[in-house]
Amino acid sequence: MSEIHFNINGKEVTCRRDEMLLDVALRHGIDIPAPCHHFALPEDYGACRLCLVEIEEERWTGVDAACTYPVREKCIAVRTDTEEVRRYRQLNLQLLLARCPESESVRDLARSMDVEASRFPGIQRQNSDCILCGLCVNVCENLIGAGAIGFVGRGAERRVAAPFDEPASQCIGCGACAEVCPTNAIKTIETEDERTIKPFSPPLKLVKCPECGKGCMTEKQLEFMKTQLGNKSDVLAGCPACKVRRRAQEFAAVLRGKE
Amino acid sequence: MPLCMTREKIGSPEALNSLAGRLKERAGGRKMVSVCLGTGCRAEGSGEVYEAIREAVGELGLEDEVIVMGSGCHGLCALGPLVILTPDDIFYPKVSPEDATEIIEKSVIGSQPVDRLLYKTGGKTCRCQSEVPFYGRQERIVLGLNGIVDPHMIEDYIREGGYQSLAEVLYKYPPEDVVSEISASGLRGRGGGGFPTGRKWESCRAVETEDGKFVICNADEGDPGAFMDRSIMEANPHTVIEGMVIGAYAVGAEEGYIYIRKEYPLALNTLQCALEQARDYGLLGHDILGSGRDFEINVARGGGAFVCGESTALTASIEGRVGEPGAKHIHTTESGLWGRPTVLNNVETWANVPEIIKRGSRWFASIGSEGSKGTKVFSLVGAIKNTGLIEVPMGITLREIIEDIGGGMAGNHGFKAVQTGGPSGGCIPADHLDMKVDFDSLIEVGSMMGSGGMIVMDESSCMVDVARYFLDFLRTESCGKCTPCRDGTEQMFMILDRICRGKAGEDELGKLEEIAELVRETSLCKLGSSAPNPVLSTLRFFRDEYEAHIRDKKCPAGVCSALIEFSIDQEKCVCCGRCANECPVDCIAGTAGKPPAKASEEDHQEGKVGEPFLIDVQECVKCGSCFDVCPTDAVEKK
Ligand SMILES: Cc1cc2nc3c(=O)[nH]c(=O)nc-3n(C[C@H](O)[C@H](O)[C@H](O)COP(=O)(O)O)c2cc1C
Ligand code: SF4
Ligand code: SF4
Repeated sequence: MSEIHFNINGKEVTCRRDEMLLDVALRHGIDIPAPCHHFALPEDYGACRLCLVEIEEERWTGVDAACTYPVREKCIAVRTDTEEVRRYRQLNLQLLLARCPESESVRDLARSMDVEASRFPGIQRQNSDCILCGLCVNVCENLIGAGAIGFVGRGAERRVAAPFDEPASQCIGCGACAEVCPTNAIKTIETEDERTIKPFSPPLKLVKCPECGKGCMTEKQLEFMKTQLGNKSDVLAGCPACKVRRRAQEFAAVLRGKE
Repeated sequence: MPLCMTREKIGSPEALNSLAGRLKERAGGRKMVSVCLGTGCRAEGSGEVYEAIREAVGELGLEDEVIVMGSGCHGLCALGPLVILTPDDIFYPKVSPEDATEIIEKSVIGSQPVDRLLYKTGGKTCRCQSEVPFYGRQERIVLGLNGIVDPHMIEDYIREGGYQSLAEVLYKYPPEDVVSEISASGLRGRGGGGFPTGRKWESCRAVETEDGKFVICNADEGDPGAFMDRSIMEANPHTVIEGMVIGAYAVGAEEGYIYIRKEYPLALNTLQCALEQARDYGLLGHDILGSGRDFEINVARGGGAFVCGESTALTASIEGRVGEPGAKHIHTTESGLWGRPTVLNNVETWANVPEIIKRGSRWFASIGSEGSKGTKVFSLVGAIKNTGLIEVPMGITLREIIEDIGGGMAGNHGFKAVQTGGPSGGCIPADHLDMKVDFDSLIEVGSMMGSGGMIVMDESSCMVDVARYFLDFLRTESCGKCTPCRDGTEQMFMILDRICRGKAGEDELGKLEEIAELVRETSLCKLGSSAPNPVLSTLRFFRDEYEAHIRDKKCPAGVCSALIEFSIDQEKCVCCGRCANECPVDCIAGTAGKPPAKASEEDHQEGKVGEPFLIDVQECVKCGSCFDVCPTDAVEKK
């Protein structure tokens, strides 16, 4: 793969051809707000439009989202902090703020970008902190492989939901969506016996760890992983904490044996 | 056509030629009645006219001499049902089933026009289509065979020289020459963007791959009210198919898709029938025309959303994913459908291809303006006399379209603006009427070609209301993926709505412009980046109208109901009381009788004198019923 040389804010950088500009910038320590970007996901979705930068190409200069811009030879220079870039980012953030005025994460982000309050009236439809970044849908579909949730509705009515707005029947309760959600709009709620992924799943039964007796994963999750792991599925037995402890004990035993 | 022939594979250009010759001979000498079965005429009852004419032919025992054909759209929808007789070249508008026998007896057998049925305009009687001013200014390349071929009979198309371009290309030109020919013609995409078709084909042709390439026909036609592509597919589907086979050969594709809008069952049916017949003749599928080349076309049904016409959303939808746009930095010609090199063109773009090959790129490039060659099909609608489907050379002026073809304004209001480019196009005012209609000129005035919608508006249209209408469409059709388009168009709509209701503050125009710029510059796909056009173009040309709404709380066109008030001019009122009868909320009071000004002493004595009517503005719901019924225009709207 050929290497591309260009500069960001005057600093020379190098990357692989077709590497995404946001990845390159972050790798070089350049700060760009990007709530809908997550290192665990292979492909960015390009939804929030906060990672805007000014890109200078051979025959075009303009503003675009860094997360979905593959760097090629024609890219000459990138500027991440022009007046225009800042203004557009702030305006998009104001739009998100009008959508989620209560969200702590959005407000924090706003403060970090010198945005006090939104100048736009609220367009709250779902009364949720969701900024529609798409990370949860992406992780559930492409990393976990459950495909339990998706976007429904168009325009401002858009939201994340399980099919037919019923409790998600495909949801295995792994909680990956809650983990990646940048605004905490999804919550994993756990009692002794059950786990609920709010607002998507019904209460899901937990499997108890044979060693400590605590709930460690949902039954559906265990089933799902068994079918994926096939004959290697005995690695699943026990909760993570107990597994670590067991490993440590085994290791200690080995060390002791050596003495 | 009672044509009892089995369709066998045509193995060579010579065989195609000889079939065309035989078909011509067979048709020669026979009279033809072509009844338009396009959407517009159908709505006016052309189906019954078609049946009545067939019956009349049957009763007179003329089945062998007269062909009755149901054809695709002839264009002049405002005067449907349309009937055309060949070879006598007689044109009848507004035909009803009762006219059938007379038409057959007098015009078909006797070759004489029935005078009372002929089209009359400006003191002139038009016998044939070319005498009708609506058709006079048109140049029909794509629509040329509408009314001449039966869309369900591939033989009609072959008879008229169809698939000859394909034969020529397959046997005489290497693929790169086909691409150069299209490049030299100057053909640009008719789906909205106007991208040079030859350049698109060339970049796809140049990609070397073992995995195959695709060509796709975009038949999603999502613009509300547009029916150009649909009319082409319903009237002459083979020109689209032939264009695609030629394109596939040129770029090296063996598989293609037609992505057709869900709401087009008739076009779908016509297309499928046409594909079947083309396969039967070996013009599609394996070993086309004996050339050893293969190409197959699949039909994919649209996802039902406006955004599905966008190229990345369209390919996603064919692949079975959600029809949602993605970032587009790598061209479709390099990585399109299933990551393979793909050429996506619009229906009308494909339909131009066979004719360019047949008549040469020079001929095509001689039509049109500097940067825009050939013709463009428009659906011409709105406040003009002749609405319908038109095909005009690029570079014609707006005035020629509206006055010569459209026949001028229909009502008694003057011209105000013409909206082009579909929902994300712009409004062009009267002082630009002499501008050329082509890709670049339209962009210069803040509008665009789009897929060819053209709506003429008169002075009774409020431009703020028009912008609000289009933004309402766009905000609900935004897929909702990216922030500026989803929430920006929503905020723009809310501001426009407030302006129309007289609730907007002085600072909102600035805010509106600020979001418009944001949405245009930072949206992910073209739906978003073009969505502000209706607002920006009306702001550019009709800013005073926005200001009147905001500052004076007035709607100068009298459309925005929150800003108008109805009142009755007491001098003009003739005390008929019709307004009071119509008012749904009974807020008009008065006494019916003779108007006081005209009453005599006697009338007074007999109690026959009325009392002028008055509207209680507090109760008025501004429905405008009184305004519509008043015989003396005493009701005023301000
Ligand atoms: C929101 C949106 C809707 C579109 N809808 C259509 C459509 O209905 N038909 C069409 O041919 N092109 C449509 N396009 C344009 C296509 O993306 C594409 O440019 C076109 O099909 C390319 O063909 P052409 O070069 O022959 O015009 C649309 C574009 C956008 C952004
Ligand atoms: S719920 Fe969270 S992760 Fe999912 S789209 Fe909304 S903000 Fe993104
Ligand atoms: S611009 Fe609009 S239609 Fe296009 S991706 Fe963004 S939200 Fe969807």
